[in-house]
Amino acid sequence: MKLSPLLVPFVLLFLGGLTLAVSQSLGFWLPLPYDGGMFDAYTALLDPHLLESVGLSLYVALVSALVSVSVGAMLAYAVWRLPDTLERASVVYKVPLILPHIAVAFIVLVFWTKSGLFSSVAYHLGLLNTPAEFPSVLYGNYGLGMILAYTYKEVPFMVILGYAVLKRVSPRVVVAAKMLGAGEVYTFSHVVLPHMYRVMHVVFIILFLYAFGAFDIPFLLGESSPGMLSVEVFNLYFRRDLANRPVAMAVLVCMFLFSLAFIVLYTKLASSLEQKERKL
Amino acid sequence: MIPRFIYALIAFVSLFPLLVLAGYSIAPGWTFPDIIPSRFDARAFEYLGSQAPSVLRHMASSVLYSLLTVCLTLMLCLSPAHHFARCDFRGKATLEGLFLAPALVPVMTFSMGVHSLFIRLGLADTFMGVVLVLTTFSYPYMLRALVAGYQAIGPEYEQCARNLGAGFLTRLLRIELPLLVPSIIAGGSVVFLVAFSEYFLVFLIGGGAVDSFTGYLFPFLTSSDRSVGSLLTLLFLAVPVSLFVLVESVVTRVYRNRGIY
Amino acid sequence: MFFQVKDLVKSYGGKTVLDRVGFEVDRGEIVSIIGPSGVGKTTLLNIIAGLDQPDSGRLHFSEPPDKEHPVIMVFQDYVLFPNLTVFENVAFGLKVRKMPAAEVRQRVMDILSYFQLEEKCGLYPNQLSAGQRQRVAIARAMVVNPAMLLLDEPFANLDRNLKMQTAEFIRDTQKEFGVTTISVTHDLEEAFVMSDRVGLILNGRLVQYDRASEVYGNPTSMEAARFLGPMNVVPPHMREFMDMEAGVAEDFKVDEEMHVRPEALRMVREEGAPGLVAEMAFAGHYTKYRVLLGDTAFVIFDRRTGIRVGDRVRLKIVDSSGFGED
Repeated sequence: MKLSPLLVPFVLLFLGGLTLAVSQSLGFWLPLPYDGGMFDAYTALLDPHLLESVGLSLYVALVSALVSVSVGAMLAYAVWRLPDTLERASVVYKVPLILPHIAVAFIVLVFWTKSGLFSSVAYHLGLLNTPAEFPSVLYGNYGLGMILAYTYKEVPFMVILGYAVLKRVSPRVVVAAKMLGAGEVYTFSHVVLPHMYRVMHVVFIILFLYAFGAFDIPFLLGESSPGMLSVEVFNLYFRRDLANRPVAMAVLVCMFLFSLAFIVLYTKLASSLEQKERKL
Repeated sequence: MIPRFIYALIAFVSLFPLLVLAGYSIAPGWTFPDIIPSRFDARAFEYLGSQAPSVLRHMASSVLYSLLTVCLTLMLCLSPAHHFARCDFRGKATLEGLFLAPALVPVMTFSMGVHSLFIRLGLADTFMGVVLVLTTFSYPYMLRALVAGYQAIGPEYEQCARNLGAGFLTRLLRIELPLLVPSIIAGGSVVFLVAFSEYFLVFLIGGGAVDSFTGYLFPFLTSSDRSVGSLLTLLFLAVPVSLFVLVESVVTRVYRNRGIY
Repeated sequence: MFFQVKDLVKSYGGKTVLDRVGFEVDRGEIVSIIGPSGVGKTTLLNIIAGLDQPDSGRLHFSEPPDKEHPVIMVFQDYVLFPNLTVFENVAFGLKVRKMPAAEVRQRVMDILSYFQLEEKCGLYPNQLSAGQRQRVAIARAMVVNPAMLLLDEPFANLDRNLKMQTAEFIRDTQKEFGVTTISVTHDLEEAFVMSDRVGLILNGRLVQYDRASEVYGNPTSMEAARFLGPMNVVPPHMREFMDMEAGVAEDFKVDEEMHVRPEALRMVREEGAPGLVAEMAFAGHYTKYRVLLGDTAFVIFDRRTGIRVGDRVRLKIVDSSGFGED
């Protein structure tokens, strides 16, 4: 009963939107008459071009989430170890978090295009003579630009949450570990890091799924062939003719189901790992 | 020595891009291979000055729908958060996880469906429609913050107020909400940021009819002249930062003696 | 009889925390329920305050409390509202009763001056000491003219030297206002000082409910006795090795164990006596000795007597309070 206010956004909009997406993918409730079969849209998903998009999306999401979580965890530890005055001044690390995704994508453009700032630096270092010699970071088919943008944007997210956990840990554990002869690396990985495992799992899920499904950054930095799934869907939905709409919806439904399965499997895996650790 | 170096590194990585954007906004002609811009002019400022009413309109609209989203999520989440924090029931963890799902799963899936739904309901291309769709995927942050807030406060204050004879409304307004202020600020900041910086959802549901700062900014970011995009990005940053500074200073002034913030 | 608890039963997840608890409280009386931590004392108080429901059993008031004369609880940790000033905290219960502002001000300032808190009225709880916070909490409860006052662990967060002072303060205030009061606590000495009657809860059962001196001096069971402090057991065959104060011997039956509190024993040094002082430990206002008599060890609390470890002593019983004998 007390939960009822959430029914508006959750049931009406979230579940309602999902239902509509599913039914449109099956050919119902479309703005135009549809003459295909019920599962035509889903068979169209096996198109090799789309499958390449799936691969790219998974790869970009995985790499950016992994890098963000590991760099963020180390930085959280570094910020935690800073002396008090610097610790308070270190709020500047939140800047990329406040920037919208499209602005972060813009910053990556400014720095990494062939005529960008890093290219200029390379010129002055004598590494190249014309912009064309600068490596294709942005459109080199490896999604590097998007990975850079996601990482720059999401590292502070991991830092905030990891730091919040460490705030509750007594700094004396580090002193104790050092007195017992542990080195810097060992102290971090065996004494401090375990406190952050849980939040790292959570952050990994969030960042992975966000990068997997988000639109803003690929729209600015994405490569066209293959494109990220979200951009493919956008093109199917808006740019090509309306007959493609069931396919667009089918892709979205599969992305949703994949995300659900990923959350469930990952949390199961993480909790079983945790139990194993506890037994040791 | 090492701490200072680490701090300098963090500050540099965070702030240097802003410095570069500032450089572009005062030197529109900055190109390869200059590391430091060679010619300065105020073209970007002049352009934006001439567009001031339009910039302000888009910014005001963004601030307004973001603030409305914060209010709406707060109203929707208060009672459920109280329930999750105070009561134990079967399937609680599952239900809580389910309610947090809209922030995790790809936004596009439900929002494309909602788009079709809103077209039928006449909510597409409306301000209210934008607020509703932003609420749907940002309320989990508010819910999480409020549940944690209620758990941190504990049930004693409510019991005590009830024992002293306070009714529901008095308890909510005089006791619970003031004690929840830190959590509301934490959750509200995230919701505001998420709503304020969202490009795709506003573009999809607002369809150009609802002004938004991100929508205004976007074409400048893809343009080959980077000066206006840079200046607008810096301007964009100023809104949430000044809002947070304002909230922070008001709240610390009011709550300094109370020891709860 | 003003208030009565009858056959109260409460269990959580199969564990019975209150097992047929029953007692009576007279009007204007102050009663303490004591017992080890975590035996359901707070649950009992919550049930009386109406914050929790019993599985069975009932509460009875000779005059049922109402909105004008409610049952008010002073929580452990005091639960002062941190966002309200001292004045606003105390006024809270009056304002929710829609009392006119002028009257609220009058009554709050009256009670704050009784509690010597007038100067603190504009401060926030965060700015007060623990003792001041507790006085505010009691003032906040007293100001609404309660039918009954409930105190949950009133000494839990106080420094040692403040505890006894607070117990006396609560007793004096309670007598001044005449409010019927029930407290639960595990601080024994303070409970004894402030209470007209004391109830002892062990394993969910109210094992004894009587005047403080009776509960301490004549516990109803060995378990009860041990909770209140060490108790020496003298088996019948050891009796011949003990001296006894005149009149004490008549209190014990001939062939039963005798139970004696450590402070009811005295030592007399004597060469070749049966007792051997095995340990001594200075504990402030008394010294704790362990004396071996054959294979039985006795605990004795005594002043400085000049007796040392290794001395031979005779033991003398000077007081007959033990348990169950009369």
